[in-house]
This record gives sequence, structure tokens and C-alpha cells, in this order.
Amino acid sequence: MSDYKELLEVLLTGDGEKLETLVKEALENGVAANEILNQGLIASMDVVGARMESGEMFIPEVLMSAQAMGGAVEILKPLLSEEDSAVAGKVVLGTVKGDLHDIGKNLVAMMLESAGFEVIEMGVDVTPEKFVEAIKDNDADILALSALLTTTMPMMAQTVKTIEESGIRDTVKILVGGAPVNQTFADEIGADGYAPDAGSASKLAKTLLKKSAYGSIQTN
Amino acid sequence: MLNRLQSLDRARTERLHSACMEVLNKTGILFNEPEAVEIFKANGFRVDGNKVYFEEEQVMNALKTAPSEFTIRARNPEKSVRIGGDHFVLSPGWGAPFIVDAAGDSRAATMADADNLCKLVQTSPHLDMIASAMVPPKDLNAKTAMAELLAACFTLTDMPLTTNPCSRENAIETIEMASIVWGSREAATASPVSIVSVNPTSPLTYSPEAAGGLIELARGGQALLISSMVMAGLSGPITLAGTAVLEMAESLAGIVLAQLVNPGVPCVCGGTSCSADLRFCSASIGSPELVKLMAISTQMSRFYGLPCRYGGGLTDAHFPDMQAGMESTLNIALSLVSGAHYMHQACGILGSYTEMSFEKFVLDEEIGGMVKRAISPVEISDETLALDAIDRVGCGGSFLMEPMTAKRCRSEFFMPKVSMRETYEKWNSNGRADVTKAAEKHVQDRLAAYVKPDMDPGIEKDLKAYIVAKANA
Ligand code: B12
Repeated sequence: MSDYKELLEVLLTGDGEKLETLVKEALENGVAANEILNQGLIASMDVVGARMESGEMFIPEVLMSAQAMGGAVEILKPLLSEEDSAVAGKVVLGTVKGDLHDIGKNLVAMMLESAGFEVIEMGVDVTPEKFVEAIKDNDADILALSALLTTTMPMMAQTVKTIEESGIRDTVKILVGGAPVNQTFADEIGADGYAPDAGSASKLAKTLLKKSAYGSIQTN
Repeated sequence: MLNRLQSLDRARTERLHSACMEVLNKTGILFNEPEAVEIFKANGFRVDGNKVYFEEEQVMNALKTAPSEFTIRARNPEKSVRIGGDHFVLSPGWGAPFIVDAAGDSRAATMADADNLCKLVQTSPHLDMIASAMVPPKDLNAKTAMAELLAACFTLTDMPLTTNPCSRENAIETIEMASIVWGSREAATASPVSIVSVNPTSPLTYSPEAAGGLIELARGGQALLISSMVMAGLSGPITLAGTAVLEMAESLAGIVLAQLVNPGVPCVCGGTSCSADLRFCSASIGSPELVKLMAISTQMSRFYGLPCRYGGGLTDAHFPDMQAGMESTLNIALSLVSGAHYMHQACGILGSYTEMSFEKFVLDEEIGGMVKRAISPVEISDETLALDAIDRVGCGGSFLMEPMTAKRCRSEFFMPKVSMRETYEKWNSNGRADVTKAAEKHVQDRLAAYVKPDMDPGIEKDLKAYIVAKANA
């Protein structure tokens, strides 16, 4: 099957049930699972991503599409090879100690997940030590830190420092974000990247790991 | 009287009230602060873990002790303000980490900016209160930042205070520092010398900091602004009726707690809820949805007999341009028209609360001044009806030569400090400078004209010592 027009249309509407039916039909017609995944779902999700960026699609609509995609991927998973189903990367994500803002962080989590990352959610008010522990326990590729208060921005610096001191700095890329944070600050504290919104956060995560996130999916 | 702005009749008011009571009773409010939960328990509220459930009677009983208007004392008694009833106040923008300058460049705010903002407030013709942390400066030590900002308010101005962002520690330092300024804890706590903004975390949650700060300040007899910022579609239902109910339930829950801690402690309810722009998931504070929510909130506050917070010089724009002007004017004007009593964030804000502009600060001030003037009642008396003059000038004459015109020409009308009213030619020959340029100059003039109000040097020394002790703690 080479024409995924209908699949794209259904994904754009976020109708999970219909999407699953289409995927099952394709399988019944003998299309390979990894082809449905790559040429069908992932290519369509790229269109969703582009439409989000251009403002044509609203974020709640994007999330519905992502959810529909997740359901369809579940059907394909048992049929995919190990390599096809590797996660895009593991991200430990949290709001730094002293800060309770989590709406933006949660949105970053949703976007990362819909881009194929496995997100280890640490919540808010997270100490540097807890971040270190989570990176080690999960063998994470990326640490994503959120702060919305000027008074908690130094805690970002502190977290980066604690990670350096614990000797795992080389194993993990550090992303920072939140309203008072900017690129200058990210550079100052030695983070690997800054993104102003959730859409660019997941893009940045992908470029940092130099992997196509949609080229792989979650295993668990 | 015809009021097109979401006017609520009895039936709609009662529907909103009962919805609010249902949320408080059925869904409950999470208080992540053990002391708060204990207080509710001790007062017979149904509690499950950290969730507190409210009976309508318990809410209405607690509200009985909350005053419908009150005074916040200023260091200069002439500047003390009354909030509630017919009285309202404007308090400046607050909490913006960045400064956007007259060229549109953005940078992190510094302590020098914070001081300059204090000076603008002290010289303001229209603002009623000073606020600490108008900009939280990046160049301060996080340990002492809030105390330093408070000290700046106390020393650089003699105005009534909107205090630090609310946390237990900030609450304690507010009371301790106010005690230094007022001479003793008794003097600072006998009646409010400050008001603080307590923010529930929507939906339906009080963080330990918010609840802890609330308890501490209620005990210390300070006024509390317990208002929610629900973002419809994000932290509240996308439908405004649901978001209005959520906001009210959260606000009332905190006010009930304050009344249990210290019956009679002044509380302002309301919010600054808005729509989320769901293309980006950002707070949209320049939206007409904020105005709709405001109109509901001011009316419901009246129903509960409480003063209401809403509105401000609010915009999502990043420069004091036409968009900023449109959105800020819409917000300031309609909130004051609708009867908001406490306007937090009345001037300077850009970028959905993330940026402060000195130029916009004075422009918003001017909007506030214009609206104050527009809503002040027209005096109707023998003198102002001017029937003699009308008769004397008759059909087709001019009033320019009337003695009354000369007598009143400086005072009768609002005189803008920044807006331009001259001819096209004048504007053109001035390099077509827009109002931001005029504002930039006005800011400089104001800072140059600033005079520090008197303060006992002993008090100033003690405030400094307090900060040093905090740094070393
Ligand atoms: C909503 C809000 C709240 C809610 C939070 C609800 C919640 N569950 O999070 C409530 C009302 C509880 C709240 C409380 C407080 N707040 Co507040 N809040 C805001 C507000 C208006 C919007 C934040 C928001 O959710 N935006 C929507 C989301 C989607 O956007 P976002 O958070 O910016 O996230 C996006 C990007 O920044 C980025 N991003 C975020 N995190 C990350 C992480 C990574 C790794 C990356 C790459 C990207 C990224 O992607 C996100 C999605 O696109 C901001 C102002 C503003 N416009 O930012 C103030 C603001 C951040 N708050 C402020 C303050 C002062 C407070 C309080 C101290 C006030 C008080 N009186 O108690 C408390 C703090 C309590 C605490 N200890 O944390 C100040 C901060 C000033 C400062 N820099 O120091 C601000 C700027 C407002 C102001 N002018 O006063 N707040």
C-alpha cells in the first residue's frame, strides 16, 4: 500500500477508533507493520507537527492525533522488530526545587511522548539529588528542567552542578525551559539547550540525540 | 439600568452559587499543608486525607466574619487606602522577570530596575499602592531577594503595600519587616499594613506555600487577596461558566480558611482567570474572555459581600504598541466600571505577565487616570449646571470668555501627561514620534523629580541589619 491519504485524514481528525480500523485493514491486506508505521503513521504525524507549528492545528487537536497514533502503534508493536520499536530516547523531566509551576512542563511531557520519547515524570519541587538518582536509575539520555520563578532559576544551575559532581554529566543532555529562562541563561549554566515552547522542545530533544524520534517508538 | 456586560439576574447568580457549593462539597479542595487540614478538621469540616469538603452553611457562616470593606494603613497616613464598597485601588504590575526597553529589547530585570519602579510609584498621580517584587531581579541572592525588595518598598515609598509573592517564609518576613517599620509587632498587626496575593493552584489545590503563607498572614492580621488564575482549557474547563465556578470555589475555600484562622481578617476574592490560547497553550490575558470572567466575578463577589480583585493593565503584546493599548484599556476600563475593588497588575505588564516596560508603566497609569476620571460622578449643582452662563451666552455664542472657563480650565478636565493632542504638523515635525517615545521621556522626568520620603534612619538601619542577618542565616 502506498497511498496513506485516508490514514492521514483520519489521524488529523484524531479519531482513534477509525485509525485502528485502517491499520488493521492494511495489515489484513498484507502491508508490513514497519511500512505502516513509517510511511503511514509517522509520515502523517510529521504533517500534524508541521500544522501545529504553522498554527493550523491547535494543541488539543494535536494531542488527540497523538493519542490516536499511540493506539494504532499498540496494534503494530507485536509485529515490529526490536530495532523498529526502540524508543527515541529517555527523558527525565521535572520542575526544579522551590517551584510549583507545572502546566508548561506537563505540556512538554505530552509533546515529547507524542514524539516517541519515554518520559520519566518527576513532578514539581524536585531536588538536584532526586534528578541525579532518576537519571541513573533510568539510564536517561536527556534531563529536562523547568523553572518559572527567578528565585528558582539558580536551582537549575545547582542541579547542573550536582550532576557534574556526580560524574554523570557526559551521559546526559540537559534541556532547560520556562518563562524567565532564555538561551543566555542556558549557556551561563552550561545546559545543552533551551526551547521556548513544547513543540520546539521535542524538536530540540530529537536533534540533540540526532535520532529521528518518529523512526522509532516506545517499547513499554 | 442597561448594562450589557454579563449582567447576572437572580436566577443566574443562584445557579452559579449552587454550582460553586457543589464543587466545594462534592469534589472538595486539596490542601497540601497539614496545618490547614488540621484547622478545617478542628472546625468540623469533612476531611479525607488532605481533601477538604465544605457544607454550604459552613462557607456562608465563615463569610459572615469577612468585612466587605477595610483599610490598609500606609507609612504616610494620608496615603492609607480603603478597599471595598465604593472604594477601589490600583496597584502596579508585579512579578515580571524581564524588562522590555523602549527599543523593544528584552533583558533580565535588576535591582536597579526594581528601585526605579518604586520611584515611579512614589511619584505616580494615579497609583494607590506600592508592590514589592514588581520585577524579581536576577542579580539578587535568592535567600535575601524578597527581603531586599520589601525594604525598597518601605524606604523608597511611603505608600500602602502589596507584599511579596506568597510563601510561608515570605509571609513571616513581611510581618517581621513591617514590625520594624511600624515599631512593634502589635503596631504592624493591629490592622492591615499590607495585602498579599495568595494563589491557589488550579484546579482545586492549595500548595503548602500558598496555604502556609495564608495562615501566617491571617494570624498576623494582614489583608489577603485570595484569587485564582484559572486558564480556561488548560487548568479549567474550556467553558467560561465552569471556569468561573472553579475560580470562585478556590477563592472561597481560601477565604474560609482565613476566617477560621482569624475571624474578621480582611479578604479580597476574585481572580484573574483567562482563556488559554490553545494554538500555543499560553495564558491569554488580553482576551475578551478575561473580561467576561471578570464581569461574573465582580457580581458574584457582591453576592458574597466581599471586595473583588480583577483586571489590570493586561496584555499579551511584547511592546507598548496599539495591541498593548487595546488590551490594557479594555481590561482596566471594564474592570473598574464593573466594580472591581483591587486592581493588581494595573500598570507596566507586557507578555502575559512575563515582561515589564517602564514606558507602558506610565501609559497604563494614564489609562487608569483616564478611567478614574471617566467614572467619577459628574457633579450636578447650581454652579455646574451653569444655567446663568448658558442663558447669558445664548444661542450661537462662545463660552471661552466666560470667567468660569478661565477659573476651571486647569482642573475641570483630565490633563494627559503622555498622550498627544497637538496638530498633525507638530507631530510630523517632531519626527512622528509615537506615544512610547513621549513615555520614555516622561519616565526620565519622573525619576529626576523623585524625592525620597522621610524615614527614621534607625528604622532604615534595622531593615538593613535584618537583611544581613538573613544572608548569614
Ligand atoms: C499559571 C501561573 C501560575 C499558576 C501555576 C499553576 C500550575 N499548576 O503550574 C499559579 C497561580 C499556581 C501560580 C503561582 C505562582 N506564580 Co505563577 N504564573 C503563572 C503564569 C501566568 C502562566 C504560566 C503557565 O502555566 N503558562 C502556560 C504554559 C503552557 O507555559 P509555560 O509555563 O511558559 O511553558 C512553556 C514554555 O515556557 C516551555 N517550557 C516550560 N518548561 C520547560 C522545560 C523545558 C526543558 C523546555 C525545553 C521548555 C519548557 O514550554 C512550555 C509549553 O509551551 C505565569 C506568567 C506567564 N505568562 O508565564 C506566572 C508566573 C510565572 N508566576 C509568577 C509568580 C510570582 C508566582 C507565585 C510566586 C505567585 C504567588 N502569589 O504565589 C506563585 C509561585 C508558587 C511556586 N512556589 O511555584 C511570576 C514569576 C516571576 C518570576 N520570574 O519570579 C510569573 C511570571 C507571573 C507574574 N508576573 O507574577 N502561577
